[in-house]
Amino acid sequence: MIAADEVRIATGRVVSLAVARGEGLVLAGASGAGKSLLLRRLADLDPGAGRLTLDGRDCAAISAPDYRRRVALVPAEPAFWRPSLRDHAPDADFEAVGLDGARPAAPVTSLSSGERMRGAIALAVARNPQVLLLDEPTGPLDPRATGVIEALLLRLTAAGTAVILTSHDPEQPRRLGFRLLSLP
Amino acid sequence: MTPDLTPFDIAAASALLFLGAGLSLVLSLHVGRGLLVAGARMVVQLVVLATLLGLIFAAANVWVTLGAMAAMAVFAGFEVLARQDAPAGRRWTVAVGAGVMIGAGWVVVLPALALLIEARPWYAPQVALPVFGMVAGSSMTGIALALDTFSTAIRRDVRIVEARLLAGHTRGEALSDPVRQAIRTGLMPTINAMSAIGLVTIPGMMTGQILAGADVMQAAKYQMVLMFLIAGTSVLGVVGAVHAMARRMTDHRHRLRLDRLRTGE
Repeated sequence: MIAADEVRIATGRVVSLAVARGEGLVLAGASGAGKSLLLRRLADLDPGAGRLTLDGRDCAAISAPDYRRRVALVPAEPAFWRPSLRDHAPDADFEAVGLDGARPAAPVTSLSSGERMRGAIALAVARNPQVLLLDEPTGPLDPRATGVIEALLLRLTAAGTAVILTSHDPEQPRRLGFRLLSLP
Repeated sequence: MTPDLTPFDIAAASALLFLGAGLSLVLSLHVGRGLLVAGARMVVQLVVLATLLGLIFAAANVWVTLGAMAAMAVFAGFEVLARQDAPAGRRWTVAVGAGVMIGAGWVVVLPALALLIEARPWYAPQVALPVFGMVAGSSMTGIALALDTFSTAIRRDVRIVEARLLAGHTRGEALSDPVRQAIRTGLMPTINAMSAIGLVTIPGMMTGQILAGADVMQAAKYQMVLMFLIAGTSVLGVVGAVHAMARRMTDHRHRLRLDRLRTGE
């Protein structure tokens, strides 16, 4: 589904990878290895050498806004441009990420880092992407919330979404049953 | 009519500057040297300006007049660059500052010279250059302020802009808030100048006309036309410059390109 052929990221590292429909991949590696930069490059948010393809089509042949609707990236520090999560996407399923009650309608400035991350994941999923990229999605979460997000990722891959995430949790690839790619 | 000033008159007026320098010495203000140097620069610059204007007025040629306007716009472009904390490239900033000033200034000022002020001929440098200078000078302040506000806003809100790009927004949509903020800020000096005009000081062009013996109401009408020209040029110049910078700070793949900002130079 998504493939990176010798893409160069800002650290100078050159990476190739391919993730099929319904497949999950965990990117691991020390801080500074370039995991976040690789996700930005896969989302076509940074320029660089190499070739990105989605369903066999060169990403340059797809308009950038359309490409990013199909390949959604949730950054490690999500940001919002409307007052509340609900204002961004009234139909988003916030309960699926464990945000229920009034939290989605609360000002985003009042949310914890974990709530912001879960809100950003719900908003990305609401766009129904073919590929979901997540940068440390469970980093700011407690074990229970981590379980909720992992269950959601498994449902997404079962439904055909390709998922690539970065993680410092060595057990996470095994829990999810995702392939592991370590950046040296 | 204004009487001719002799060198003695000017020397007498300059005594006030020396008085200021003397006070600085007595009060240990350490501004005396600055006052004298600035005063000397002012004298030299005005003599050079008067000499150049004399040559341009004598030529009374349309291309010379337009060339002088373009040169003024280029100097204004350098002034815009000097007021940027993080310019989007030095040459680019000068080119855009000068370009929008020439474009907006000519679109607004040249028809006004021909149709409203009815200068004869329309490019008469005695009328065209002072009017263009006042219009370009005011627009320059707004453009400089707008570009600086824009670069500050996109650096401060980089995560929000990128969040919008990641949500599938176009670069125009993702940058709409910084663009609006920069345009509003860039137009504030013009709005404030029009709002406050005549309350504290008699505006420059009106003062000049009154000193030259013109009817006061006629001078006020000329000042009104000038302020409308300044407002029109500022709006076109600020909007054009900010949109040009929004394009410059993104690429064809709708990516934010902060790497094109020159910081710390």
